[in-house]
Amino acid sequence: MLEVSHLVKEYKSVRAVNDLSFTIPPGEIVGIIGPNGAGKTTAMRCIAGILRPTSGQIRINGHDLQSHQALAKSGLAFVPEVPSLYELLTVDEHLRFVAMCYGTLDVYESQGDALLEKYHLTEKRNELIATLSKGMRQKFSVACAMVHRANVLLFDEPLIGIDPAGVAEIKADLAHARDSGSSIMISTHLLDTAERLCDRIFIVARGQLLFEGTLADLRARSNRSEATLEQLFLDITGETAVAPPPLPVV
Amino acid sequence: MHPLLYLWFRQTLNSLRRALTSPRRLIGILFLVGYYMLAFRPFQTQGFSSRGLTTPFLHLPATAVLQTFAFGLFLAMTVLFLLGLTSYRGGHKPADIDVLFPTPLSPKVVLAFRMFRDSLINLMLPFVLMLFSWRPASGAWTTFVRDADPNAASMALKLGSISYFLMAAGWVALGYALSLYCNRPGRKYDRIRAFLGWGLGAFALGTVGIIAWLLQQNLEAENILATFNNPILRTVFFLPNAAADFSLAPLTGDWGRGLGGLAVLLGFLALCVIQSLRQAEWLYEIAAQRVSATVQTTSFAKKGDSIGLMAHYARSGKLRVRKLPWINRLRVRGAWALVWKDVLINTRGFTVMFLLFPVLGMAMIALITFSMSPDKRGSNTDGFLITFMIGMMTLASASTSAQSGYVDMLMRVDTLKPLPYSPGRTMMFEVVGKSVTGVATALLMGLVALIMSPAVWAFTVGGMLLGMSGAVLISACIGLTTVLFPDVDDPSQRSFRGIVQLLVLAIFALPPLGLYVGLVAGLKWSPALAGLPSAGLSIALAWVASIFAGQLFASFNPSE
Repeated sequence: MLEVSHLVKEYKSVRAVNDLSFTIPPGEIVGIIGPNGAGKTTAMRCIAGILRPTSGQIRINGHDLQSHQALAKSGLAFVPEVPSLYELLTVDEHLRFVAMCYGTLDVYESQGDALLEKYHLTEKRNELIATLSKGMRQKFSVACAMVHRANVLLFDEPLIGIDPAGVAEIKADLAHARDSGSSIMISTHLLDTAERLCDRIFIVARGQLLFEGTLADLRARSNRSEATLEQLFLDITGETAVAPPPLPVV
Repeated sequence: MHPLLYLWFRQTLNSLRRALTSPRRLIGILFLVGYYMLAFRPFQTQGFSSRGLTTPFLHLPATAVLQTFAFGLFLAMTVLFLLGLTSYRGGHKPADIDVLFPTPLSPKVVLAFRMFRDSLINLMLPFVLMLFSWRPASGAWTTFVRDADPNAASMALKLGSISYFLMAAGWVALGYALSLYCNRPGRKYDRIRAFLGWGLGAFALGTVGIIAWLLQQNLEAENILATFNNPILRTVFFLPNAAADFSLAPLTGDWGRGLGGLAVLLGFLALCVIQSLRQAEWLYEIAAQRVSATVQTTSFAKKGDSIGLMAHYARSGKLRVRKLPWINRLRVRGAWALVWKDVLINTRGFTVMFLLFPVLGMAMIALITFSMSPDKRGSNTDGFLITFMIGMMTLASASTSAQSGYVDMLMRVDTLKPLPYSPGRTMMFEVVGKSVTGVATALLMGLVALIMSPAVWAFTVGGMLLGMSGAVLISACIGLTTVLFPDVDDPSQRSFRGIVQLLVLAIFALPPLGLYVGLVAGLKWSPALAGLPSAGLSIALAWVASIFAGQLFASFNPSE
């Protein structure tokens, strides 16, 4: 379970996250959507323990992230938008390293083959990360998140740069993780993905949570029963989709 | 094995393995080893002896001299550490942020490991010094411990190493403590960082200045000893003093002072480690912000993509984009648009650099003319100097502009290749475009020289012709070597490209230069006249290099 209470993150003169509060119970996928610069990645990085919140509280599986960092983080996995990996480790060494950090090396040694097989990495097992393609790196990053059996999963744009088959596999993984009782938070720009995959939706703009609920709640609030998530999103964030004028024929 | 040790060990091993299995990387390593063996090894084995170093001190007590030298050495290291104390430390990679920081490993453990690793890296400093100065240093050491018990002398060396490690580890820890304190977000910390940085810098440099001034008063050995034994200096720099006391205890026999020194070193280290670990909670935040701020600039700098870097600065508002209407208004046709594009980019992103070389060159011409005695003005010496200056500044200007220009060209291959020109033609116009800065430098310098030293007009015209055609030739040679080794992400290929570039430049530039010198010095042609066939030869060679480069460019595939 992930509980965020009054989270604030300020940079020099910018309040990137402003009083964000929510809870993601076990067995739920929440999609966090918002325009560029809304504070989604900053919020995720605070929850992942990379950035220090200016104020507020984050609890992962009941453990406070500030005071019991190791306990809180042991149940957490974070997949960044563009994963930066240790280029000079091989695929196997990298997974082994992550497993060591979480103290789950035994699990990796017994189930690593299946994990590599699942993400089509068996043939790349002894190759350096530097040799992986962009899509493979993204898949590998998801594999890293699965290596320690976390039950709070944070995905920052997880489906960007992955082929359709890979997207289907990751979606299936997410659904499986939800059914196994994980709390999952996905930041995405792909509104149709959020619409189909997520149980609840958070709409964030200027660091603030503007809406929290299901798509039905959102439609009810907007009094537009037939509206798509895209239309509702644009309504609530105050953004407009303006088509550019047609180009003159030369 | 601890995960951090595992990470370090595997990365180092894989890096070495990769370096030894890739022929291109291996060539780079062999070049470095060869460079050391040829350039430094003779100095180490046959270089100056310790005689010159030790003679002035031989009449003084050996222990006093050793104490002074040891203190001086530790003091020098202290000053070096002081200078970089508040700068950001960590050297974290983007992978640390995305992979390591979200794991349950405590930031204190990560920080402690970093400090340990940095302290070990600091041990490399004396190793590198020894690599280059082992012979004189060991000679001096043997001279001063000649009457001492060999076991005591050996023990002193070991204790010296321990002292250095303790002191270095303490400074590393203090550096982390200050760095993690000063680099926190907020204006208050910006001010503290600036105050401490300037304050420590002034203190360190002031100390060096005072010592240099005191030594300069009297360079006698007695004065050197007295300066370094000044009680105020020893008190202020109690740490190097303690390190010297502990290191030389086996030779001085004063174990009371020696153990006191050890206690000071250990106390300093413990205090600094405790202070830094207290700041550990800020490690991830500061590293994440630093990495996200520098990851792109570092990547551009590594590739040598100066134009990409300028564009990045422009995007982030750090660089004001200049628009020069007269260039924008130029109407060019066909492949000349490639040249126009280069002029536009150069004047927009590199205005300072674009102007720097011509302005510097013109200033140098003025300096040469004014500093020359009246009887030599207008002489052949004056003329040769002007020709030489035009050549050097053109080389600097053309090669700087071409280096970054061709890296940019490789990045834009998807834009360039679909253009309706053959790869050879595209390459030829790219060569011309990247030589514009060099041509402008030679032209402007020549014009200034013509005004300031009209008597040597023939040399100036010859220099201008050589410089302008040379700029095109330099551009073509750099273009050829860049498409020959096009992997901008591979550091060993980049360094190898640099070596080959020098070779190619020498091969292509020698014929026109030789022709010019032969015609002027041998056949007594007027330099202005000699410049014509030499410039023609330069352009012809540039054309040949462009054809080769064009063929390579045709088969260049960025995804390979």
